[in-house]
Amino acid sequence: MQKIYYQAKHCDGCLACEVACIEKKSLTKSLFMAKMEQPVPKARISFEKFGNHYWASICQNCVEAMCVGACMTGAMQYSETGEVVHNLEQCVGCWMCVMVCPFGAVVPLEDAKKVSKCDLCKDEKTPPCVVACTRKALCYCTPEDYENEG
Amino acid sequence: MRYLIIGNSAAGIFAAETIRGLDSNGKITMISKEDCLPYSRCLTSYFLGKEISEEGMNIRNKDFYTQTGIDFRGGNAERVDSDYKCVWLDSGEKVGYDKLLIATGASPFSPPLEGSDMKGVFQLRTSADAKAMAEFAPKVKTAVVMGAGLVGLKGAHGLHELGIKVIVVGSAPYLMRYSTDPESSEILIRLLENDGYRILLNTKAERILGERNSEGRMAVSGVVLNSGEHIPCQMVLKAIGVRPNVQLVEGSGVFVNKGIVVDEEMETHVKDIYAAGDVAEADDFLQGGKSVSALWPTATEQGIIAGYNMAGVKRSYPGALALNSAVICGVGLISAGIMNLPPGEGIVLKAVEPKRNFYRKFVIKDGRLIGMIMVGKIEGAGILSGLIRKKAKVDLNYLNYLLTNPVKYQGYFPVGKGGE
Repeated sequence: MQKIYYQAKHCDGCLACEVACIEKKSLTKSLFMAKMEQPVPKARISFEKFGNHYWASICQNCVEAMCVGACMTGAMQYSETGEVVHNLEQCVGCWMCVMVCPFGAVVPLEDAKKVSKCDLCKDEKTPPCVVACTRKALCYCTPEDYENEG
Repeated sequence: MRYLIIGNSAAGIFAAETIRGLDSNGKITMISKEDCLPYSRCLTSYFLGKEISEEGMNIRNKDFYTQTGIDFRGGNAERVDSDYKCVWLDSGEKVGYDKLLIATGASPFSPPLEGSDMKGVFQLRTSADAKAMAEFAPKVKTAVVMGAGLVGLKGAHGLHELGIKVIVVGSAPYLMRYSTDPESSEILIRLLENDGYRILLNTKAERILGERNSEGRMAVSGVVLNSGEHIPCQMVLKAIGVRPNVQLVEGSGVFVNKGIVVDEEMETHVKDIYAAGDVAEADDFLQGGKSVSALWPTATEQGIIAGYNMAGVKRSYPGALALNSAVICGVGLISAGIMNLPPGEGIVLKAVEPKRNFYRKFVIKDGRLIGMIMVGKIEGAGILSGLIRKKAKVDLNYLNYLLTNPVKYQGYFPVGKGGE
């Protein structure tokens, strides 16, 4: 299973990943048109500067995920390969997952009464946010590769 | 190893999945008196309000039992024989076990009230309750909901969605008394009243009035309150509270207080019998001691812990933390931990903006965050509930900043000074 890893020491807070995510999640797939969409698409990755570093908030695909336990509709579940997947159809927008995710990685879409989170953009070879990261603060790899290469 | 699980809701399902993950050869048997796919009781009010379909209530797909290799049986478990390690069903059948999990949940409870046996008096717990209510609803113009807790308000919302005028009668001085405080309740009351609900607090129903309908049965025609007011209505929803279903273990030697008392491994006083979910009385995270907590996330967490221990992997339960999330008229409310401290104890930080339906409250004691309420902007609530779980010392200045600013993940939460 591949995950998105984040290393704060490489990040300079350019937010190119956020932009790439908004573009990908917009209906028009264009950043310029995305601004005009209603509701305005939200990025599934967000940043906050604290101290000398930027901190990314993105789904970690936890092995024992709080959101899966808290989800009262069964919309949050583990896939066969171990990722946490969210089924938009089953979601009713009760915000239980928002209530428990310690990374704040579940994004409430208030207008649609649903939540959303990073789905690792399975339709792409590499998620656009990782492609957009020129400083290599984000990397898309298996836990073993991450351990070995740091 | 033979595992037997009684009950197929939150705790039972998560325990079964955990056991299957650890022991692929064990024989898992599940018995439930509701012979259906596992569904979510929290969604019954959504079904009532026609926001989701009947299948939408299911939390697992239709192949769940076969895929997980669970032998599921519909039936009513009647008695546990801990000496011979078996459970008797009311059909006379006997099912043996090596490890038993009791996850029978809870049932609605309400003090006796005159007229409760009439047609038109409902409770909302199971999918059958919701179906019965949905079937009756077209004849209803006005409904009285007794109880201003989470179930009462969700039921009220469901009925409101169907175009029924809803009157909520609560005995407490504010709404959802275990998961809000007076100020956040005020915001919710205003929202509900603007939406056409009528909210009566500090009020009790004294009796339900009825009249004989065309079939010759007594049907609800109104409710008399202790204020003397008479409200004409056609439906009454009783949502006062729930009581653990402990009848199954009576006479088996399992110690029962309010619920089935379990230790930190979710095991009861009798070896190899475990309990989890709404039926269990487990450790409390913040207050110490034991408590019964009837919440979905608590039930799943206890189910997972019980599953681990049943499969032979020791894990201890950190204790139940009260976590509540509700959406009232489109405005989210999330609360965690202890929301109301006695006056003079601890520090309370508050930010109120009633016009924007925004409210935040943090409760700090001994330098640790022990409770919070967020109304309106709920993004990042998990970071704060995670902080309560960590029992870490917090920086008051930083919490003050968070009262009005978005809560975002920052690697490590500020502890005193510095963040890394």
